[in-house]
Amino acid sequence: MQDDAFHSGLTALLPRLRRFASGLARNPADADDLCQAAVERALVSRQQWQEGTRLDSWMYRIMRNLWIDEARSRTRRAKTFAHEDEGLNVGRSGGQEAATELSLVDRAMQHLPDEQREAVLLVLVEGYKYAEAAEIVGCPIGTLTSRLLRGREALMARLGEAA
Amino acid sequence: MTVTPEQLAALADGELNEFEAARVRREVAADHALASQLAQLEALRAMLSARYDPILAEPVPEQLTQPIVDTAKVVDLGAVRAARQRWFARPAARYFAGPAIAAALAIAVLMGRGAGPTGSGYADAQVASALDSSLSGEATSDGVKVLLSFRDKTGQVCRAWSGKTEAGIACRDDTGWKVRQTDAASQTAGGEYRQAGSGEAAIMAAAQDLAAGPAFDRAQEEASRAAAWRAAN
Repeated sequence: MQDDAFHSGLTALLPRLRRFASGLARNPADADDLCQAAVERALVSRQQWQEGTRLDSWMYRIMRNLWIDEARSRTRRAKTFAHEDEGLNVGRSGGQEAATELSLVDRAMQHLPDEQREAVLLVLVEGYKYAEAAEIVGCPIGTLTSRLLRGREALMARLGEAA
Repeated sequence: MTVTPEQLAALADGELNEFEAARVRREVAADHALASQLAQLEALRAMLSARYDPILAEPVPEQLTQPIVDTAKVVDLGAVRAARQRWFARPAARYFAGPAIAAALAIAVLMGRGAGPTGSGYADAQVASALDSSLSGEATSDGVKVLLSFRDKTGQVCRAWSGKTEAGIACRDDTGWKVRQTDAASQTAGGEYRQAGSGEAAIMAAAQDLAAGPAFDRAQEEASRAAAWRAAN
């Protein structure tokens, strides 16, 4: 059944969606909230997904749109509060050096504007082609590649010593 | 320098076609500064992978998987209902459990008065027309509704119907629809719809006794209708 394919496809995408959410959001709790909101939106909007088109692109688009909307309203609220359940989905690798390096990457990423960060994530982490990433974001390829270039330069400037 | 930062990045990202890629690689091989920049691009990708890829191996929290499971369950409600109908069916009613219960519950019979049984042993024109042309569950303008179709032990196609004055079973032979059994529809004042009555229940029970297999599904009915309901379709 088509619905079964939709649900199993969605379930299979969850690890990747969590990875993308972890890059977009500022902390693990926000990341899983974002992921959950994207899943719920997808289930409600299931009719809008066209059979034969890529489910992954559609899901990434839903998630980044939710995040951009959320980011706009967060800017307005300028809220600051700490989540208690932080650490729910932090990459688990042992060792002091690894932990230090991870937080360096996190801090460098958080300094990027959302548009540059999502371009970096889609191409360098999620492995999308420029054209695919541009389609997910909903911008021309040229816009995507220039955001990617600026984001990458900013990251390398911050991480230069560590790299 | 003939290699732009965009071109170098495109090389690292695998976005150049092989001719462009070969050209940029030649430039990189001849230029230490370019080689160093390319190495930095690759180092950045590796650092990002080291940070984010371990998330792929983590167990996915139930708060994410559960909504999908719940929705899938709702989608399959039809299957759940079908299973429940099978469960309720008596062993003797196994062939007709789904269709018979559905028909008995869903089909309200238009009641009337008078009218005698057919004398010839074959269905009259109104009933024959409905048996020839209607799929189960479709009501004709004459108030005749076919309840279900099945094949009897001799291979003939039989159909149970419910009409204004009687319910019955007829099987298609060379002459027409031979009536095997009829039961008077229970009488009510006026012509109102009501829950399927004892007449239909009796017909369902008779159908079970006559049938050699399960009731036809819609596709089987359509195929059988295309073959004029004849035995060797």
